This record gives sequence, structure tokens and C-alpha cells, in this order.
Amino acid sequence: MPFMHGSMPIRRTFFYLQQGKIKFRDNVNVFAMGFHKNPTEGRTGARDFVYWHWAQLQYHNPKVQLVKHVDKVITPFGRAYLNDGREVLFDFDGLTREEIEQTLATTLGKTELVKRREHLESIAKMNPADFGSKNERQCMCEVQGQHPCTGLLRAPSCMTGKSRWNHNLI
Amino acid sequence: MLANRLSLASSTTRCVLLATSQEATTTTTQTRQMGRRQPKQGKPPILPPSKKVLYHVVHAPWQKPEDVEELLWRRHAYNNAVISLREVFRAEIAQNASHGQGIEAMKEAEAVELDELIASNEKRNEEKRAARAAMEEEAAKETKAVILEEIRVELEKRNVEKKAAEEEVRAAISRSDGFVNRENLETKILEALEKPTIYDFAIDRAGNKYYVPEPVKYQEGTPTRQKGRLYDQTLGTQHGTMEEAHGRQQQQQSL
Repeated sequence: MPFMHGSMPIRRTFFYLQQGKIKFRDNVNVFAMGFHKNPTEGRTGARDFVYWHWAQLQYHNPKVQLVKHVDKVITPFGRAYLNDGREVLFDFDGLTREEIEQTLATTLGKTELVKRREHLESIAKMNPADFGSKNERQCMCEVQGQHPCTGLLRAPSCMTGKSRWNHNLI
Repeated sequence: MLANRLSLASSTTRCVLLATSQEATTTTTQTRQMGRRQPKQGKPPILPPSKKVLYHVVHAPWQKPEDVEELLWRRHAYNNAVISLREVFRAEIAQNASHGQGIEAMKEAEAVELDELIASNEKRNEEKRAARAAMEEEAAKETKAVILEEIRVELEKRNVEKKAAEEEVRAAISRSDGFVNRENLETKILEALEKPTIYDFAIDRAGNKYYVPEPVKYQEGTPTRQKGRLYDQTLGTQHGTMEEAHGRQQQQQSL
């Protein structure tokens, strides 16, 4: 199976996708990257970056349009289009794969400030009366003073649905 | 006696009432829209539910006062728990709202931070652009020097070739004294007619050339004995070049 040779089996794992460091902030709408497939010496970083990190970019930034300009230019570059109309140009000439990743992550990636703000926003948006896996509490029984789940502690018969005062009612 | 009379009267009245009621029921059942068959028991589907179902009043069975008291206490406890839960949730919502109060300021700080990052990136780009321009200028200089060197080498080579060609032309001009030109055309033609170059010879594998006798302009003396076998050795054909043949002839004549 030629598919399982070389770096492909590493690159295509879910774990590898999750290892991506670049998470663009919400300002970025489009990110385009120009590189050459047969670059001159010292310009191989952009090609390697696309080879190793493009899938991770796609995985971590599902709402960002990612464009590749292949073999259009000799000098590798990156261009990000922000939502306020600005364009940010990156010069990747002479940079290695790690340096390119670092540049993108520090310039347009989410900083500590952005992460903290998003965390606070998620807290403010959360309703304490909602329960479930995506909310603050999984179950009502986690609230102090409430009866635990019947799976953990058997409820008295008067509190179960089977217990009724008058079976002739309905 | 009096009592007997009273009891009799009451019994008669009962009988009368019974008779009248029986009469009334029989008349209604027989006269009011009776078809051939008796209608089915129950309610037609389009009608509202019967009064009996709609206004059913629940009569809970009698319970012990202790049980009622216990149930009432439980209801109160449940309501109090719900009220306290609401209080807890209200407090949490207020706390979350207080978390979100500084978000606008944080967004402004983020915008400033992004501007700074973009500016630093622009600066970096500018530095790289300047470095690349210098490098390209250097490379252009080197390329220009290489091209100029190639041009110089090519020019030298062409000069040498030109000199050689000139020499060759001069040598050819110097060799051209005996060439045919307009002036000596007549004499050259006459010379050629008088002394034609003969290429009419045979050659064998060893490279020996066999000439026929030199052709004569005008037939003189006895004609040749054989015409069909010009290269027959028995006829005494010359052997060697024409010049050698001439030399041999001259030797014979001088002898």
C-alpha cells in the first residue's frame, strides 16, 4: 500500500490534526499563501509548511477560507484578508517551516488576551438553568441540595412516577 | 284507626303516582322520532362529551390527618427548594453578567494589539524587502560581470578568427597571379587548347595509372592500329603520370 509509506500515515492522523498551533483570530476571513513546488535554496520553508501544516490550519480554522497559489511566484508569501478590509502581507523568504508557523501564530493567531476574552464571553453566555454536556452542569443532581440521580441513590416510592394517590383518576 | 286510614291514603297516592309516571315514559319512547330500529347506545362522535365526563368531580378518599399534614409539609419543602434554586440561578446570572462587563474594553485592547502586531509584521517585511533588494543588486552585478567577461572572450575569439581569415585572403590573393582574368583570358584559352590536361587514364588496384597516347590535334602519319583496346599493354601505352610520360618521351627524343 503506497498510501501507508513515508510521512502520509503520520500526517493524516486525527491526533496530528489536533496538534496544530495556528488558530486564527476572528478578524481573519481569508488566508492565501503563494509558494513554489520546486523552490530555490533557502525558500523551501513555505513548501514544507504547506505540506505539514495546511491540514492542521484547515482543521483548526473551519471558518477561514484558505487559498494556495502554487507555482505563481518565486518568492514565497502569505496574505491574510481581515474582516475590516485590511490585508496583511507576510514575507516568507528565507524562513523555515517552524519560523513560518511561529510568525503566523504570533501575528494573526489568538493571543492570551483573545483567549481570555472568549472564555469570559462563553461564561457570560452560559445559562445556569441549562443542563447537559455542553453546559455548566450535566444534571440537576449536581446542584447543592437536590436529590441525587436515581441511578446513584434509590428514590422513595412516593417520589417516583408510579406512586399516585388515586389510581382511579385518569 | 286514624293510623290505618293515613297508611291507606299514602299507599293509594303512591299507586297513582306510579301509574302516571309509567304512562308518561311509554308515550315519549314510542312517539319521539322512532325509526324501525333502536339507536345504538352511547354518544355520536360529533357531539361534545357528556356532562358526566366533563364535570367529573374528584372525590378524594378520606385520609388520615397525619398523612395530610406530612404531604403538605413536603409540598412546602419542595416549593421552598424551587425558590432557593431560582435565587441561586439569579445570582449566577448576575455573576456572569459581571464577567461580561469588561469585554468591550478587552476588545479595544485586542484591536490595539492586532494593530501593533500588523505594524511589526510590516516592519519585518520592509527589512526583508530591503535585504532582498540589496542581495538582488549584488546578484545583478555578478551576472553583469560574468556576461561582460563572456562578451570579451567572444570578441577576442572573433578578432583572432578575423585575423586568420585576413591572412587566408591575403595568401589567396598572392596565389592568384596565375589565375585567369579578363586580361589574360585569351592567352590562357590558347594555352589550354595547345596543352590540354588529360585525365583519360586507367588505374589499377595498386594505384598505377595507365595513359593512352596523347591525343593529337590533327591526324598525321599512319593511324592507330587498334581503336577498341586503347589500354592494351601490348600496344605500348605509357605507364605513370602524364608528366612522367612526357619526361620519358623527351628523354627518348634527346637520345
